[in-house]
Amino acid sequence: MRHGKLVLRRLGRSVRLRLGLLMCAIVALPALFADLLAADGPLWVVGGSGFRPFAAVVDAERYGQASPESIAAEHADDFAIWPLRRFGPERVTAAGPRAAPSAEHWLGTDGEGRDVMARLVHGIRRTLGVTLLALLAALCLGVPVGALAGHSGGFWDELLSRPVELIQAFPALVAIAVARAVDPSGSPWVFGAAVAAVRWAEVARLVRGEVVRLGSEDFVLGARAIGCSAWRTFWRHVLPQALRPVGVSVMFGAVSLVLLEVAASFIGIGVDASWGALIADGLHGGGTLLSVLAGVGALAVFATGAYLVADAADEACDARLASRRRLVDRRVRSFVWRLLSSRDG
Amino acid sequence: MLRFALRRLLWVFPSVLGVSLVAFYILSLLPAPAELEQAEPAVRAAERRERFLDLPLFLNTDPHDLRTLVERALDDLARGGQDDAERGRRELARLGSAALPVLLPGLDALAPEVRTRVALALEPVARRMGERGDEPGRADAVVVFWQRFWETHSIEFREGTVRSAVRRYAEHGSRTRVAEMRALDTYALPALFEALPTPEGPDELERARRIVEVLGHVTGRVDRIEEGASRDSAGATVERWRRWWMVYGGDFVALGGAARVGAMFLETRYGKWALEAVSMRLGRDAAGVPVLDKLLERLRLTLAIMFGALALAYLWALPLGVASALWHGKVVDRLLWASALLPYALSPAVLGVAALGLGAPVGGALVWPTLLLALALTADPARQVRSALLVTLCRDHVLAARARGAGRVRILWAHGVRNALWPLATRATLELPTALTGAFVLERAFKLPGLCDATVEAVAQRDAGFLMALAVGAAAWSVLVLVATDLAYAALDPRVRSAIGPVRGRDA
Repeated sequence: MRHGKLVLRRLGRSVRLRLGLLMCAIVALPALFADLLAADGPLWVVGGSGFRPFAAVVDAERYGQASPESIAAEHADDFAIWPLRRFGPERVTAAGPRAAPSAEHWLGTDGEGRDVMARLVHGIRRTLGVTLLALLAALCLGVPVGALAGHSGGFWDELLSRPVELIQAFPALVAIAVARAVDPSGSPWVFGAAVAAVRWAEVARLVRGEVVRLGSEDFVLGARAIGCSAWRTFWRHVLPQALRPVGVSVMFGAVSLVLLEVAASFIGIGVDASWGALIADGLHGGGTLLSVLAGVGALAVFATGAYLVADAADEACDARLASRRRLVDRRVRSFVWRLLSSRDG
Repeated sequence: MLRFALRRLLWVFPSVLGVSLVAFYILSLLPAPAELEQAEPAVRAAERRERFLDLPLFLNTDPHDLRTLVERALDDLARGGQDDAERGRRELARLGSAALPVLLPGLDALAPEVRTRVALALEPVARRMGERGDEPGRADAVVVFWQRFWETHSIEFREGTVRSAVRRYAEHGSRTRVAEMRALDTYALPALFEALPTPEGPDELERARRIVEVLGHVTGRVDRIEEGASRDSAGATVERWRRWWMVYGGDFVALGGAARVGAMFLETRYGKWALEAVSMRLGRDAAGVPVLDKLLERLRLTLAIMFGALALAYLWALPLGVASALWHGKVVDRLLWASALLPYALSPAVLGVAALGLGAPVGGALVWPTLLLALALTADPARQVRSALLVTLCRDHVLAARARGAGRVRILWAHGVRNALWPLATRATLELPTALTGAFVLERAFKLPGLCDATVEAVAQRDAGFLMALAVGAAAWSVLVLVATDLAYAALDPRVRSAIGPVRGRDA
C-alpha cells in the first residue's frame, strides 16, 4: 500500500480532521459565495442590456459607484438573478450608522452605516484570497529552491541555504510595513507579495531538510540501485515524500497568515476592506460590539478549525508516530496509570 | 566551537548587505515629497541634491568630479550666452581654488576670448584668497595675473603641504595661519574635513571652531561655532558640515583610477545611504533624531515584551505539553489543548482590547501585554512538546529504562522531557517573528511608546530612512538569532557538537 493511501486512511479516522474541516467550511463557504449573499449588482443578467454572467463580480466597481435606484432601473426589464441582499460591502445603506440587527441587516450596520454581514463575508473572502495567493507564491518559489539546495548539496546548498535561513527568521511585519509605505492603498496584491517574499523561505527550508534526509533512505538507495536516473529518483521517489511536511506547514501557514493579516490591520498596515480591517475597525471603536463579535467569532472558528486540520495531518504524516500509535497508546496509558497510582513516585 | 561561531557571525555582513539592497530598491519606489515637487526649480534642484535624488540607484557609470565640472563650466563660458556664461561664472566661483590645478595649466591653450572670460570669472576666488589683481577690470591684466599666480604658487597646491598647513592651523591657529588657510581656499577642503574633529573635549571644540571658521569663509555657507558654544551645539554644527561635505564633497576632488571605481559605487543613492548609515548613526529621521538612537530606544520596550512573553510561554508550554501527552486522547488533553488554542486563535489584538475592556491599565507597566502575548504564544510550543514527548515515550530506551527499574519521575524527566526539549530550541527562533507581530499589536492596544508606534508613523509619513534602518536592523537581528540558535543547539546536543569540530577538552 502506498504511503499516501495510508495517510489518507489515518486522516479519515481522525475526529480532529473532521471537526476542523467542518469549522473551516462554516467560515470559508459563505465567504466563497459572498456575492450570492450580498452584492451591489445582480449576479447574472440575461435580457435587454445583454447577456452578462457574474455581472456583480465583473462590474463590482461600476455597481459600487452607482446608486441603488439607478442599478434597479438599469435592470428593470432584464431577467436578473439578484443576490440575497442588494448591498455590497462599501454601500452606505439607508439603515444609518450602528443600526441594530434586523431582517434586512442580519448583523446590523457599522459606524458608517455599511452592512456588517456584507463586509464580513467579503472581508473574509479577501483575506483568505490573499492568504492562498501568498501561500501559492511561496510554494512556487520555495519548493524549487529547497529541492535544488537539498539535491545538489555542497556549494549550491550553502549558497541557497544561508539566504533561506535569514529570510525565514526575518519578521514578515517589517516586510509588510515597507511594502505599505511604498503603496499606501492597502492593496491585497502588495500585502500578498510582501508576505510571500518572506514566507517562501520556510517552505524552502522544509523541502531542503526532507530532501537531504530522504537522500540516505533505503528506498531511495534501492531506486538508484535498480538503475533509476538521478532525475527520476528525485522526481518519483524523493520529491513526493518531501512535499508532505510542506503540506502540513502550508496549513499551519494559512492560520498564521490570517492572524498576521488581522494583526497588521489592527496596527493599520493591513489589507483594505479585509477581515482584519473589520475586526480592527470594531476594536478601535468604529463598529458595533456585534461587528467585533462576528469578526472575532469567525476568526476563532476558522483558526481553530485550520489548526485542528493541520495538527491531524501532521500526526497522520508522521509515519513513526502513526505506526506505533497503538503501542504508544498502550505504553503511555499504562505508564501514566502507574505514575498516578504509585505512592513511591 | 569559537571558529564555528565566528564563521557564522561573518554571515551577518553579506546578509545585511543583501537585505539592505533589496529594501533600498523597494523604498526607492517611494515618490519624492509633494512640497519638493512644487518648489521652485532652483530650490528643487538643491533639495534633490541634498537628498541624493539626482544620483543613480546602485551604479554610477559616470560619476562627476572636479574635472567634469570644470569642463562643463568652461563649455558654458565658451558658449557665450548670457545665462550660460552666468552659470559658468557662478560654478567656477563655487569650485574655487580646487579648480585651479585643473584649469590654470591649460589656460594658454584656450581661445583668447574664453581665456579672458575664465580669468574674469575667477575674480571672486582671488578676492576670497586675499590676492588682489593689479588692475581689476582690465581683461589682459587679469589673465596675466593668473598666469603669474600659477607660476609662483603652484608649488603650494600639493596635498602634503596643504595637510600639514591645516594641521598647524587647527593646532595653534593665528592670524597669519588664517590668512594662509584662506589663500588655499577650496583646495584645502578635503584636508579640512579630514582634520575636523567631533567636539568632545575643550581642545577638540577649539580645533573644530577654527576649522569651521575657514570652511564658512571658503564656501560662503553661514554656519559657524560661536566663541564659547556648548558642546552639543558645536557637535550639531560639525555634523551639519559633515553632511554638507557628503553631499558636495565630490565636487572638489578630481577622481582618478581606483577612486573613480570607488565613486562608481559610492556616488550613488545606495552608496550615500550606506556611508551615512555607517558614519552618522543610520542618518536622521524627519525630526532630526539619529535613527539608530530612536530605534534602540524604542526597541528596548518591544524586546522586553517579546522575550518576557516567549519565556513565559515556554514555561507554561512545558507542563502543559507534558500533561497533554500523558493524558493524550483523554478529556484532560482536549481541555488543555483548547485552553492553549483559543487565545492563539483569538489573536493578541482581541486579547488586548478585551483586557483593556476588563480594566487593564493603559500604558505604564508591561505586565499585561507580556502576559497576554505569552497566552497567545503558548499553543505552538505546547503542541511541539506534546508530540515530541509522545514519540519519545514509546522509544525503546524508555522501555529499557523502565526494565532497569528507573523511577517514573526519572523516566519522564531524564528520558522523556530532556529528549523532547531540544527541538524546542529551534522552534523558539521561528517564534520570534510571530512574537514581534504580537508585541506590535499589544503595544498598539496598550498605547505603549515602542517600535510599533515609530514604524506606523514612518509608514504614514513614508519615511524611507527609518524603514531602511528597520529592515537592516531586522536582518542583522535575524542572523544573530540564527547564530545563537546554532550555538545553543551545539551546546545542548552532543551529536551536533561533535559534528562542528573538535572541542577543547575530552573530545579533542
